Amino acid sequence: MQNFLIIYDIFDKKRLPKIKKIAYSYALGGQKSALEAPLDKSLMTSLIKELEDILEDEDKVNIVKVANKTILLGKAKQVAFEKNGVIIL
Amino acid sequence: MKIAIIDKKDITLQIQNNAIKFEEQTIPFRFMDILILNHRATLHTKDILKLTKENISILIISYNNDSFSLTSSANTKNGDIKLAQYNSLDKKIELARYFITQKLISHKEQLEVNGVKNVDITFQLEQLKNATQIDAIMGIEGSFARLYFQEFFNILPREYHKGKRSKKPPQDPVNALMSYWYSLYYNIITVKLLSYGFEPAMGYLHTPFRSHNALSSDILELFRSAINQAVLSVFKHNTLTLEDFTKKGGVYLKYEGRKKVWSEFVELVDTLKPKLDNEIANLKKMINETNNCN
Repeated sequence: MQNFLIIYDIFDKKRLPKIKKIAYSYALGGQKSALEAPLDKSLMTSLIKELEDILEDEDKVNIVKVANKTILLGKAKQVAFEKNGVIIL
Repeated sequence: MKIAIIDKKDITLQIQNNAIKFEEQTIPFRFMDILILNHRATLHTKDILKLTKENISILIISYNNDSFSLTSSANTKNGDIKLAQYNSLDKKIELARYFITQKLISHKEQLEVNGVKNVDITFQLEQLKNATQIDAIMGIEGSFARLYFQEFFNILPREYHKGKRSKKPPQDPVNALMSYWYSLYYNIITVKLLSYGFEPAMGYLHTPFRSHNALSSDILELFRSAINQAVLSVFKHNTLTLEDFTKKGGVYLKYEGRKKVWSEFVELVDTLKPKLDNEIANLKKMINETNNCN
């Protein structure tokens, strides 16, 4: 399990909430259209599949691997997760 | 088994869009099969319903880890497994013998990993083969346990224990952590059994139909040595200190101490996952075999 950022830019207003809903169902936190999600291979595969079913050519979704130690400024908090999806507080 | 742990006092959890929300954090349902909460979290009954409907079990732990409550979906499933379980009670000696034989072997191996090489279980294994009563099997297990714990406590730093196993209540930090992790893992086994359709209350070695989940206790026997090894590691590395325990009516791990070892417990559950899956598949096979013989 590794932390990723899901960043999306959706052209059509009708598709946007659908993509948003999918992205949020994989995310532990983040803001607006940049979400932090811990993903392993199978989660990544199912996320991509779900997105591809809706996305059109003009849309854009970036799934970016995040380094273990990211720079957090302002009120940002590191999203908590362990390698198997466990959240510890 | 995906576990989400929200061990924070006085928080309110809400459910929106198939995810749990609290403060600025979101945990989608897909990240949990079991949600562990402490007893000072607030969750609305309608949200409890939503979680259990999604097959997410909720385990609530009291402040000092001395009591647990498990909430699962009331849906009955796989009636055939429960029936097979019931029918196989006739052959409970065979299954009970399996649990204790494996327990003895794994405990001996665990001592060996820690340099204790002089424990011989040949005699006990022979006795087990000939045992025809559950009481006799429990007797063999009891006498081995005394021997085992004597050696086990010798490996541990002296300041954390009184040299013997104590429970209800535990009398020292080592026993406190052992009992706490046994209870947590017992509940995890219960959730796993429920998810496969087993009746956790119907056990073979432990007396069936008592208030506890006898089958979960049976399976726990196979994992105790691994839990003990993880406990050993916590105290060898001084992850917990004497200040992390309270002495009120027995020795218990404090809330603050509990937070220090969540990651160790999670790692342990993760390591044991393949074995737990195997043992449950094996149990199903053994139950079916005894049914075919009937």
